[in-house]
Amino acid sequence: MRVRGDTAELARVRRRVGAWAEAAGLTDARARRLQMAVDEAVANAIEHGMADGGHVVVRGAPGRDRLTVIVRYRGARFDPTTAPATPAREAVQAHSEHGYGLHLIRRLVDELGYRWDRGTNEVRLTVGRAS
Amino acid sequence: MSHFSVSFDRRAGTPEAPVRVLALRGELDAHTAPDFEAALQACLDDGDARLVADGSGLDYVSSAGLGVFMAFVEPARDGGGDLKIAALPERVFEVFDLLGFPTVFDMHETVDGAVGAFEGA
Repeated sequence: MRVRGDTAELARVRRRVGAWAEAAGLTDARARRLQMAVDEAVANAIEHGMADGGHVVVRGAPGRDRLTVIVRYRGARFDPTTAPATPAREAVQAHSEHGYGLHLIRRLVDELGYRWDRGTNEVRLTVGRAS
Repeated sequence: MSHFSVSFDRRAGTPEAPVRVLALRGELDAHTAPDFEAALQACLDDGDARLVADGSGLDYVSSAGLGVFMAFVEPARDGGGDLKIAALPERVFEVFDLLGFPTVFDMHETVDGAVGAFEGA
């Protein structure tokens, strides 16, 4: 699916991921984890990373025992697998308003991958059908 | 579009020590978080710092929504009140819990419990 650079699109992204998760046979709890992680990744792209007037492409890639969602957008290079983040506990104790999205992305998925391809960020979020 | 609304017509507590209850409904994400932020700011602007977020109608919360709760807990406490959180559905509570928010917020299973936790209410 192609997503405009507008946070109003996020609900549509979550619904689509939910449909992919159902088709892939993920449990509701696992589907919610993936929906939320993808929501955070796309919101991050829309709010911080993407080139003006650009769009985000979100694609479901089901595997035998897993579902991977691939998020691609042109813009500032941002690798969620290595980006520094204040530990969640410290951020919470400091009443920080920001910085939770990255923690959610990392904690909710079973595998997080990143690739930088000639100006395009590609984030791969995978949740298994069972742990 | 995400469907989200905040209604804050309900006042609880006592006339001398009122508590304002904000009923959250729908999906609190990066798109709808500013609505919640505006509602909380309106309460503080009215001089109401004793606040309860009734999350019973909340279907979803993302980091943007969590950030709004965090942004207002200190101003509410500085104003002599608090921002308490009540009645979150299990799947929404799990997100708060995952990041350790219950160590900062006074969270209650029911709205009445949260209202009653305010002194004099």
